[in-house]
Amino acid sequence: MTVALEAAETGAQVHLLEQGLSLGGRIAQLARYFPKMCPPSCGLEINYRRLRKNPNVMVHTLTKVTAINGGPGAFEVAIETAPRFVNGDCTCCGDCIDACGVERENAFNYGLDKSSAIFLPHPMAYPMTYAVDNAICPSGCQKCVDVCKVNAINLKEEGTTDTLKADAIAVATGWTPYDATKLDQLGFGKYENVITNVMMERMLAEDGPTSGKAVKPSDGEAPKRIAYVQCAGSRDRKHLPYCSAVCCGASMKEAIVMREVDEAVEQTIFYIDRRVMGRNEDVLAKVEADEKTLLQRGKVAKIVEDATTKVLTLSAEDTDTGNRVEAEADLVVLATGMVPNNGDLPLPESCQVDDNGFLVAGGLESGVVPAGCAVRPAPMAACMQDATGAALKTLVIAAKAS
Amino acid sequence: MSTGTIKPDVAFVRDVLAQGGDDLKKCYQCATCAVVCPVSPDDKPFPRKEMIWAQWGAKDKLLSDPDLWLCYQCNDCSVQCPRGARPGDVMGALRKVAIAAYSVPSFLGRMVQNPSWFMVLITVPVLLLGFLLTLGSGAEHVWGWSEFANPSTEKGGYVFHNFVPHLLIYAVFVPTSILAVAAFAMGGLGMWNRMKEAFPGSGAAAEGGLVDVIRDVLAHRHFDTCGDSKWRTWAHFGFLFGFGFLALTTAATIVLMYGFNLPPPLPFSPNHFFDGLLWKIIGNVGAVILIAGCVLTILKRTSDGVDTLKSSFSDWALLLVILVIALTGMGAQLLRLWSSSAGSVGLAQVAYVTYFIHLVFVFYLILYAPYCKLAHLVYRTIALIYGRRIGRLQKEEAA
Repeated sequence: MTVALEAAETGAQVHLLEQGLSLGGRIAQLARYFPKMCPPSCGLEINYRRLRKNPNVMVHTLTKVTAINGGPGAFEVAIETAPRFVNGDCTCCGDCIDACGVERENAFNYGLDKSSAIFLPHPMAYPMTYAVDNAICPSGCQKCVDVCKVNAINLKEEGTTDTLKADAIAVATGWTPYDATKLDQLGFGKYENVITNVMMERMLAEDGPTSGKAVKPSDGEAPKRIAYVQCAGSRDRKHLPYCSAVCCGASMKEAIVMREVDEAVEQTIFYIDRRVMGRNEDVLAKVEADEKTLLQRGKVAKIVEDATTKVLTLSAEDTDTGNRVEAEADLVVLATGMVPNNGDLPLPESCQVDDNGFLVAGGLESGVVPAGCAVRPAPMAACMQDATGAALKTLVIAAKAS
Repeated sequence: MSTGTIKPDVAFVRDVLAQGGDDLKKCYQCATCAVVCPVSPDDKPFPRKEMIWAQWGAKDKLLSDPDLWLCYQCNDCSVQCPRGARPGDVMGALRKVAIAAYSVPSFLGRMVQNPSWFMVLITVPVLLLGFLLTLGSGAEHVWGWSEFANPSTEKGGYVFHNFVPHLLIYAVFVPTSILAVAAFAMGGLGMWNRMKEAFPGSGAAAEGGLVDVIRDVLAHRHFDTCGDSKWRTWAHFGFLFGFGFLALTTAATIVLMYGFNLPPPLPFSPNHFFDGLLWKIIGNVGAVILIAGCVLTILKRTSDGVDTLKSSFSDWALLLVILVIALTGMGAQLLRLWSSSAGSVGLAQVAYVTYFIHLVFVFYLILYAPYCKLAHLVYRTIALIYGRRIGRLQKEEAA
């Protein structure tokens, strides 16, 4: 979104292609920005306003790139847009949600709650338009269509295809959290009270499924002891061999927010190395100074659940003292890492992809400029800087081609 | 944390890398290994601390660390290690380097573990035995190479003591064994003193000693707690009991012959086929178990699974020497029986050569036992006894 805006604000014509229902990406799912600790809504709102004001950006949601042909100055990008079943007339009045009797797992909240089959993608969605998950709609059901006062719903809507012309392409496909069910020693998916850091973000978000409070999924109660497990899949040859760069800061941020939410909560962050860089060391200092948050050196190798109390026991070696530690926790947050999303993008052969699926930075020759987490795991602020650089590169490519 | 000066021994680190610990430097001290280890104690568990000591070249710490020998290289740690640093293999490499370091004289420890010296070292038994067998010509009862040129029979069959008389075997193997025992005694004492100085121990001493250690070793109790490399229990079982049966028959024969002047049972046999048949059966069972252990180990060490161990020269040297001993022992026996029943002089000579190779490798194994991987037999036992003394027990014993 930022690449598109920065380029469009110089007068360039931009198509912004988004596979999902809304712009905003993972940022929209965070509880707070790191390290500023403010909710992401204001930053998003600023960008949305720039977008609304700017006639040069054409936003395509639910859109996939199926082919990229041509080269710098003469790309032809084939796209396929899936139906949303709700058009821009939607006023988000909510009548259809009341009428709909079908529930789906809410992917935006990582399955922590459910939504109806017709839903608003999230409170900060752009476009602010409902969508229908027709895969779960009972056949012939027309309840939402019947109650819609503005006739915005068309369950027979079909997908469309198109081919766009472009001088340059920016790739900002972002990331997906690593699949924590693959970490069998840590019990995610097996033990209810083992969650991931992105789920914790949703819980701690004011607009999240628990309105900003962390709860134990097993009983909905507030946890008294929380443990954060760093490098859950990252820096591990069997999972993600690289450091995901943001998880140390994210866990520290969550621990700080958690203490604001519940002053009595006791927290432990198990880590191999505490990787916060530059000025972000202030955040580390804040966590270190917190008497109820313990930074515990040692990677958690095993988590076991007590089947009746649902209390989790984490095993590690305190590598400072050289003794084994077994710590109990009511809620365990796995700091899962970042997997790049470039996988199904039909990139031209001139684009280089590294062993881990990240695009190699550059793009002036190929005309395809990668940015943000498409290049490497990076925090939001760095991705924003990337975006400005990428926008400039696309303009250079376009200028050279004309 | 304790403070102190670390004197890195770079040559020591290189030795560890060369002996199968070449992934050592990948370790980033996350301690997954020390948590997943099924035998490591909760108090100062291994192998995480050994990994950093090895990276730092803290030779003195490692050479006095009984924990090296509490590890059975089941490799659960190597399977779980997020970095692929293979702590289990590093521990194995550290034990080999420790064996070389405990060696008396120390140059033999370095030579035996160095592949470029192998041919020189094997030449010693070849030349010595080869030379001694030249002494049999012109004697009243011709033996040695003269007997080889013209094999004679006894009770209708060829017999090895016409080729290598018992006396010659004693003349060679008794002094060699005494040397080996002496070398073990000196090396073991050195190890004990190192451990006592560096790890006087804080825990309460556990009950038992040598007897408990031997009981645990025979039962393969610690091997059995391994998760990912269960096969090693069976492989080691084959080695221990294969050798055990063979040692038993040999020792019992010597006791019977010289203590009671009796031939090996069953003694009253009509011909050479049935001489000592009962002993032959026990010995053969031992040999088959030993060969099975060798084959399983070779298959597993050459396969490419999560349970594969990294193998260095020391591992292969011991494994192949044992396999050659077992196969030539079995082969010499079968060739002797075959040549006797066929009455073939040529086959008898092949049997003699096979027997000669067998003796050369047995000689090699005994002579170099204190310096090769086999020395773990003594050093591990010493470490286990010391561990019990200072209350340093494997996990399930402490529980």
